[in-house]
Amino acid sequence: LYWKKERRSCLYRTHMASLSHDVIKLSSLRDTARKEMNQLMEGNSIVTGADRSKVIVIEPALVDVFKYSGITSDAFKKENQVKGIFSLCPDVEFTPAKNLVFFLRPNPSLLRVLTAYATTYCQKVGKTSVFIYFVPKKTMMAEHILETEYRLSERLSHVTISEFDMDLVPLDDDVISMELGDSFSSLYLHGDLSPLHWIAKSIIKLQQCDSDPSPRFVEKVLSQPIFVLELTPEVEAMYVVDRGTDLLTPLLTQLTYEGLIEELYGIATGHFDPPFEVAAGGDVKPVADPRDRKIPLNGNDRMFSDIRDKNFSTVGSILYQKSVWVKQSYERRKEVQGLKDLKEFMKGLPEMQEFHRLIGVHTNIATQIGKTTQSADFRKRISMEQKIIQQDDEREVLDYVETLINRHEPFLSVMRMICMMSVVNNGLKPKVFDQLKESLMLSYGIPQVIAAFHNLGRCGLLIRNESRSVFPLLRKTARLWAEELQEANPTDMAYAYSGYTPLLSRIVEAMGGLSGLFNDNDVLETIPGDKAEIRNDAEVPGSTRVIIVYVIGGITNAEISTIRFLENKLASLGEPRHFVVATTNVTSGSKMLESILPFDCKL
Amino acid sequence: FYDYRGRTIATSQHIQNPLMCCSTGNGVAVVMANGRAASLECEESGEYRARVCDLPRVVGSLPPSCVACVTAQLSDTGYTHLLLTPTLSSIADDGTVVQVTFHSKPRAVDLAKRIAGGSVVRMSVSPDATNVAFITEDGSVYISDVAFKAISLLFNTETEAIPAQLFWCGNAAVAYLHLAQQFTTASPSAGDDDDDDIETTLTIFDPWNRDHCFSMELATDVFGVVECDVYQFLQVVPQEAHRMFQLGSTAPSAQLLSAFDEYALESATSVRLIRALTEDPEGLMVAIDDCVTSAGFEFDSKQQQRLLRVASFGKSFCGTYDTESFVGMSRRLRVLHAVRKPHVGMATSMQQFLTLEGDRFVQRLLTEVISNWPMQFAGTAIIDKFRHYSGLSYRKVAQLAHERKRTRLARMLLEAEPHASSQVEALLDIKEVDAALKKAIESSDPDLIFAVLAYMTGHRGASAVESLSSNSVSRSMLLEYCLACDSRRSLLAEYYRDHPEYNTHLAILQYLDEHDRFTRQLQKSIGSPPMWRTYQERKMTSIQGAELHAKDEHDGVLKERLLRLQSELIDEQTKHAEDLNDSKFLNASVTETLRLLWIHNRGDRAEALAKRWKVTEKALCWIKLRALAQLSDWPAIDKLAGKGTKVKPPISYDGFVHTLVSHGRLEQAKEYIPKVSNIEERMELYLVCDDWFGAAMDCRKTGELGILEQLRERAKGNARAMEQVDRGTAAKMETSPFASLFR
Repeated sequence: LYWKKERRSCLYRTHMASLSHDVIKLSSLRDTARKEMNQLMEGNSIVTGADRSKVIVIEPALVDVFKYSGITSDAFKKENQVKGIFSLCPDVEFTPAKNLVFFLRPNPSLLRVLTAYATTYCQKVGKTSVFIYFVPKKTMMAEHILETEYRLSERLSHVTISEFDMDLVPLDDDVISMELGDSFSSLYLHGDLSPLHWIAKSIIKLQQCDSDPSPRFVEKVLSQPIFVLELTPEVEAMYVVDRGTDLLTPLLTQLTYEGLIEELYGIATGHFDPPFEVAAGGDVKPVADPRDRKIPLNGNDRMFSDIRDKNFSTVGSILYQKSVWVKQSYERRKEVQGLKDLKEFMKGLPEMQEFHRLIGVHTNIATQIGKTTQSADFRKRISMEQKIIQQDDEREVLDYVETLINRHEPFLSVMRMICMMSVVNNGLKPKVFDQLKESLMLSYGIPQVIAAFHNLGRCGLLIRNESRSVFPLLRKTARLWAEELQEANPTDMAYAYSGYTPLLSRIVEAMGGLSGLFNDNDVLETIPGDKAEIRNDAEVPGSTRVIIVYVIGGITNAEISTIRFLENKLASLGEPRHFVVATTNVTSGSKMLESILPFDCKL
Repeated sequence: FYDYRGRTIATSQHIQNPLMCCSTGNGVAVVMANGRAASLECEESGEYRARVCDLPRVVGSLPPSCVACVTAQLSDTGYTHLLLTPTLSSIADDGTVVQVTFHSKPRAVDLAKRIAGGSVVRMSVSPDATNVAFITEDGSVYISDVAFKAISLLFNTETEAIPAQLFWCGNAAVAYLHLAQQFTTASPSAGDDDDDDIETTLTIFDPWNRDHCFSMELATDVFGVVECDVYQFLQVVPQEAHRMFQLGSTAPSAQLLSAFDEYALESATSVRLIRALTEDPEGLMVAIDDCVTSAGFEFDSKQQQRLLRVASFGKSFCGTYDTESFVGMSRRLRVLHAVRKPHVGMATSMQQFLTLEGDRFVQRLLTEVISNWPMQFAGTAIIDKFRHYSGLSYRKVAQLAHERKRTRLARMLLEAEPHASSQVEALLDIKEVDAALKKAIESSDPDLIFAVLAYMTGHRGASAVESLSSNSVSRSMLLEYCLACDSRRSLLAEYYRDHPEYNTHLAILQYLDEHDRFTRQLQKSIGSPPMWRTYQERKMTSIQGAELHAKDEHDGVLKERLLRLQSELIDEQTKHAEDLNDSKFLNASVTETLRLLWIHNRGDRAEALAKRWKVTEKALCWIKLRALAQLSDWPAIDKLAGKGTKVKPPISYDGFVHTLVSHGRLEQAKEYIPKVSNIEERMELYLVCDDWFGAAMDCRKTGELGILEQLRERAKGNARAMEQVDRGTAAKMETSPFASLFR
């Protein structure tokens, strides 16, 4: 059971991004999905009979997505006769209802649990209609397995297999995600093509949400299996970048505020669950339900949007300045002379109070993060990461990794370092590879490490050295490492990783010819792999043009921050562009590795 | 019984002395010499069953003169009827008809009719089986209903030659055929001159309108008569042509024709004719239409041209004439000419073409092309044509080609199909499975690939594995599918044979699954979960399986050695979990196991195992350090670090510092700092121990003023630290409490 029945109300009170400042109409994506879900729940397409009572069962990975994307908030309510919402797991919840509705990804490994759940429920509860909605698309394989392997329609009296087309979820004004947590492992480890298809479909959706869907376009999509993208004029370009071009960045520790929250506590669909109390101070609103104290992280929070993209080292002083400002504004009440002043003061008061509250929240979070970042261990780790990037002092790095293993540090954090070394050097030297493998096996379990190496190898994250690495050339051409850095007042995207610039961000910069340097083409040419370009020649004068950056396989929060930085930089140079990041999922090194490892490394 | 490819499809049946036979639709009816008749018809079971009955005496000993059959579908009883007429000895005798009904008890009945004109020589049942036409020896043509209740004599053929064939053209007309050679042989008395005049003739008549006229209502306006070297194409002359060419016709079209002819001869009559025609514009329009229609009727292109020229001549006097039909006709004629060319060989009348126009005509043309053209030629021709038109389905054409055993042509056509899904489905239709797989992979549509995969595993079973695993996309899908379906696991065995490393991997995954499940149980319960022995056994089985597979691997030496170590470990863990009653052993790694042994005061055993399992000295030192810290055996840690001796521990001192600090032993930790040689590292360690004083003092002592400056920078905002730094900087060397300790 994921959240108990009496907790169901939590689902309806979320703080998703308001999307009031979206440059392309992302809100329409949410609205469409919401409308479809409402229709589904109101019974238009679910049940025609009199008894519309239903129990909803959701795959665990989708629970947060549903909960925090704002798509299900209206639909999963009592008026729609929703009797209960549960998580799909081996323990069946027998709340009686006439309809049993499943939502899950078309992942074959889930089908066994699904079948067991549905049959057990129906045996105990009695005549029930079962509805299975695959998100975002049903696949033939899933359907085939349910029909021929589990013989679902023979075992149950009424089964409907359908799909709920929710692919892109807007997380913020400029970030949309498919929230496919395991997209990296699906694409790189399992070689599953389905996500690519969903991505292609989602791109079509993006075009439709951007402007009114032109009948010609729809016709084209319906009539042709292969179509050429025609971007609407407001969109100057869409860059589709594969995570495979830059495996290194997610492995590094993100050093922006939002990135560090992700690294230390994890962010799920724009929300994070702090393991400490954030609400400090007397006038802070207490959390209504202590069990659901997840904090939304998006542009609605004006304090957060000021600091999310900043290097963490500068966050403290920004918070301090802001608190001084709030304090000064409060102080102004003493200067109130007449009615006009009072009115002015009262007008600004709610904003100040809100800021006050937010400063409190973020100061608490930042203090907690600071405890980690100031620790010797953390500082050492960062310096080692930077040594790896500069391919400097290999011996010291290896000693460090060895110590991590001997100290039995968490497996993921050790593997991140090792993968980093492998990616930068195009594989580890055979001797080092074997040595590390053996000490890892002794320390973390032999089968675990064999399986981990198998999978990481297949994804290209950890290999034996075969040929020379192109990384030194790339580092030089794409200026991935900045010697001079001003974290407080950055002039380059390198600030997000305190010196290192994600290759992905450089690609975006270079593709747009935005760096103002001559070597943009060199950068693109140095990157291995296929490249293709579709460009919109039509120019629309006046409005600021939009560039969509679609990252397949996941993007980190810090990378998003660098893209926002690029946006600001261009605006200051008088060449304003809006960037919209679309991705399969917002990721981090740990999330990426976790999805690849075939065991639960948190156990 | 053979099928069209010459394969036996049913067991043979013996019919003695067959005399005559005719098809009954799904079998054959036979008249035998012993005065019996039989039917051999295919039952639903696919077997042929014989039904035999005696014929009435009236049939006599001679073979019947004629047999005809009413098929079961069309007969009024629902059974096959055989009609036969006895051979009579004299032309003066009256004939009769015998009807045999082949139901379960076949019965033959003499209908006892008195048919004048001698033996019936030709008999034909109409296609809808309502009427029968027959001709007697003397040339009398009769028509009757199928039950022979109302027989009527129509006319006499007036020739001695018995027609070679009598047959129905549709249900409304009957035709009989005299062949040219029949006349020469049948009437040798006729002179040679006459021979030329009599040719193969076909007489068509309407049995209900005895005027001998040719006004038949057939589905199309033609039928062909095939001889060995000539194909005769018989066509009804349309009214329009009739009006135009009939002698003495006064129809406007006839006048238009004469006007044109006269004009060509530069005769003044044409002017008069034209004037007359233009006075009646409607008549002129009809005349032009007639010309156009007649052109369509003609086969000779010269004649067509002429008629169209007449039409256009007429058109020039008729401003309101809509040229659409004229243009349409020209186009249609071009098509007909094209398909009539020898390499296409479709002689088609305009009427036929109009009835077939559209899909069915194309269908016929395609059938013709597919069946008879050389492959390369046919393929390119079709693809070339299809390219210009969207919405045409290669799938149907390929299916057609496949039915006609032209597989390569079918492949070639499907190659051109732009729609991946129909392409793949069509390739599966024609059983070109490997090509379908290739195309599906090229399309990178997971549903399509799966469709092929499901088809292949369904039809070929394990033998499909090889081709499926030759491509990474289909391979990963196959593995995913097999892992999700228990019924398909057997397919994996096939895959293992060539990929032992995957086999090892799967066994390991199984182990990990058990391990994770057990660990969850362990976390839930207090003490050992009741089933722990079973879990250990299962884990052991998986590991031994993996070990076995690793042996087959090309490069599995290290893997095999460590997997063996793992099974030793499991044994060891089971023992200790029992002896020391600590379930933590059950899912521990090698180093964790050793650490637990130390904690349980079994250091000797741990040392022995470490040696056996080749745990490095460094790793071992760490294990001891962590175990001792957990046991709070602080003096032992000092001993491990070689305190007071000259022996250096295998690991660096900062390990000791960190471990001690994390256990709150700041003071003890500080003692190790001076042993670290690198000043930067020392500084970090001082800070870990929160010893700003020591750090500052160290800087002063070693004269590292730059570092001292950095230290001050770090201490900013922390008043206590600042104060300590200041104190440390100011302190005299001798006052250092530990300065002499490690010197």
